[in-house]
Order: sequence, then C-alpha cells, then structure tokens
Amino acid sequence: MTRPEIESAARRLAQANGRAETSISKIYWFPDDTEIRLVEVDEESIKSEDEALHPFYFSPVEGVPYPSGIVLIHPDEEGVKPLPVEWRVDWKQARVLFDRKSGEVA
Amino acid sequence: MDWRTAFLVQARSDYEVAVRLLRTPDVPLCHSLHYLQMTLEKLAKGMRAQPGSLAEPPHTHAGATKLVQMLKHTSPISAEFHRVLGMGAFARRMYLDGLLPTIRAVEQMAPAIAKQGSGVNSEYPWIQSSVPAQIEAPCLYGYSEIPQPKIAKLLQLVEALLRSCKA
Repeated sequence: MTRPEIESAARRLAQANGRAETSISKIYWFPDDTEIRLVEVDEESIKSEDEALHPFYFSPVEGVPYPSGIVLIHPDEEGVKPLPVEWRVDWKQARVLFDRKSGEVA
Repeated sequence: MDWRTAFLVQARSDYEVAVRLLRTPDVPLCHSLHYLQMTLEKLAKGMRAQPGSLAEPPHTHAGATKLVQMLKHTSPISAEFHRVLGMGAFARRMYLDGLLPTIRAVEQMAPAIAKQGSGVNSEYPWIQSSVPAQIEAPCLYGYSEIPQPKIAKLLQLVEALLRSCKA
C-alpha cells in the first residue's frame, strides 16, 4: 500500500460517510502510510468521556481495503481536543476531505 | 492473542453470562445489568485496540454509545453491522436512536462513571441524589432508567455488535 492509495480510499470513505449523514459537518484526514485515519465532526455525537480522543479501529472491508481508525467528535471538540496519542499528530496536520458548508468535497 | 481479540472474546463471555442471568428466575436485575455494562465496556475497548497490536487500549469505561453512534452511519465500515441487524434504513435508524439512551444509561452504570453522576450503578450501594437520606442497594433497586421492554432490544443490539465487530 502507498500513501496515495490510502488517501484515495480515505477520500472515498469520507465522501460516502459525509454524503450519507446530514449530521456530519466535516471530516478530517490525518495522513499515514499504514491506515486510514479520519476524524468526523458530528453534531449528534456525545462528547468524549476523557481528555483525549480515542479512535475505533476497523479491519479492511469491501470498499475500504485498508485498516482504518475513525474518531467521532462533537463540534465543540473540533480543533481543540487532543488527538489520539498513538497517531502522533496535531490538528495542524489535518486535511479536510469533506466540508458540508463549502460544497462538500475537498 | 492481541488486546483487541481478548477484549472482544471477554465481551462475548460477559454477554452470555448476562443472558443466562436474565433467564434465571429470581436473580435481581442488577446482576444482569452489571454483565451487560461490562459487555459494552469491553466491546468498546476491543474496538479501540488496533488489530494485531500489543498496545493496551485506553482505560475508559465509556465508549459504547459513541461506537453505536458511529455504526449507525451509513458507511462501508458499518455495512456488516447493518446486515446483521437485518432492518431497512429507516427502521434501523429509529431502532438505534430509540436505544441510544438505554445504551448510555447502562454504560453509565460503571461505578467509576456513576460516582460522578446520579450514583445509580449495578454493583455498589449509593445515596439517591433526589432523596439524600435514602441509600439504595442494587439488588433491591428497580432500575426504572432501563424499561424492561428495552432490555430485549438491547440484547438484540449487543448480539449484532458482537457478531459484526471483528477481531
């Protein structure tokens, strides 16, 4: 797998999720060479239960041929809540793959 | 065995005990709820561990509500969960939206979380926040927070989660 392949799969997954769920306002991608890493901003989401964000991890499935780690956050947590420690990234590295306000697809 | 597999296996075992207790006459509801709460906690922890990783997942008691909120979404990631539930999109959304408060209530029965809130849990006696002089014992408490008809639906949901959340 290469990063462009992972980015392409991340883009497809983000667009599928964003278009299907009107409560999702934005989806961020955090580039990685081994897995898809997404943070989805969902107004229906409860807030995280502690001081850090924790992804749920999924094995490859049909349509998403790479492992993925996905975090669901409340809009109040966007850009401020510390990202998963195992990702070793900060919000500055985020790339928007879906933005409902600005016409959906980045 | 990795952490993910171990947590998912243990969640399945906790769930089977919860079902046995629910089917056993005269067993106070608190014991079944205790095992259901542990099922949800371990399921969420398992899904927070990367497949094949030996890094221990975060020590949080909550997570199941958020996992269900995520799997409620229409996505390739949730397709297997939706297939196992076997409902149309509208019915599934109504079903899951209707159950989310129950999942949250069970999740918050972990004593560590309950201590910060109402105190209602399935293990230890607590003082009623609305009636400060009243101390409740779980085995005598009625758990009006979890209406009986919701428990059967919750079991169906947990079974679907356990079948679709893969190691």
